[in-house]
Amino acid sequence: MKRILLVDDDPDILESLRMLLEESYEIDVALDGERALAEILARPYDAIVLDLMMPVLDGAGLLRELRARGVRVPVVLVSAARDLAARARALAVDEHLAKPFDPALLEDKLERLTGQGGAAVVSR
Amino acid sequence: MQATTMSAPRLPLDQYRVLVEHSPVMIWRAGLDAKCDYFNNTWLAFTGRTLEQELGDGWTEGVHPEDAPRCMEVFLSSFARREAFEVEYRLRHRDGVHRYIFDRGVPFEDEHGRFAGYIGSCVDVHERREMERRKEAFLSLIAHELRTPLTSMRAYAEVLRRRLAQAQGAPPEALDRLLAQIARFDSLVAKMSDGALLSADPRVAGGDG
Repeated sequence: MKRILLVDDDPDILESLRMLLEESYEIDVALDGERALAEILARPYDAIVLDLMMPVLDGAGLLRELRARGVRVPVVLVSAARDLAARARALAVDEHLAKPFDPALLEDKLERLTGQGGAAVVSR
Repeated sequence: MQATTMSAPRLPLDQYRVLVEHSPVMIWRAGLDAKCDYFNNTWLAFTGRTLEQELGDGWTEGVHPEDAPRCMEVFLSSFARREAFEVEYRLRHRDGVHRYIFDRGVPFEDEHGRFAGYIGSCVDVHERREMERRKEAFLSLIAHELRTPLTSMRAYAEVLRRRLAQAQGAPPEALDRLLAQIARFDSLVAKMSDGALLSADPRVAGGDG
């Protein structure tokens, strides 16, 4: 099973997405960029779902740290930031989704990035 | 500005001077060359500068650099067409802070009916603009803050829908209704932030997914 790291400072975002995705992926969560960095350096991830605005180390900061260390991991940027599309381009991330998003869209993006099918067995 | 009213003043001329100089609105005049040749006391008291400093194009030194190009474009293009104009810009107050003022300029004619330049009056609309800006920022903030719980609500509802579908086939009607209400809430938040965006920032791009 592919492994995904969810990074967001809102515990309910982490919990709801974990519940949504846990049947298809191994899920880990981190409440800020610093903790996420420690997780990513500890084990490989197939994709990261990353919030932009977070305390301690924000999403852009985490991406900088990862690039400085030569770590390459697919990223879906999720944020309520107004200029999300422009920031996603500037940060050169693979995918982005504006909050609030359709959960199925996140699953589609993760499926593409990891090459693994999601919970498509349940009718929509 | 008709000659008839000018030729039959109902007040002694020196009282017109008092009216103009101490009017609660700032008054300016520009000649045929579009250069300003008069500012009343109210203007000078606002900017804290001397008449000599403001004359010609001197007054533009007090216009906020971000507003100056648009302000001059409105002024000069209206001047060329001899049309009245209204423009809002930030003007440096004598305390050093730029304040929003609303400036309305109209062409005037000399005693022979020939175009002679412009007369303008300005009022300080700073408090009103600040209030509008705060209202827009507040609406935008509220919409932004609602997006996070809305994201987890959508995800939780989807989890619930799937689990119920797995357990009993068809989800209960109440869940469909809940999902419909979440969608309604979602579109309300989107409308709210679009509205706030439209008035706050003209560079609104199409909603990116």
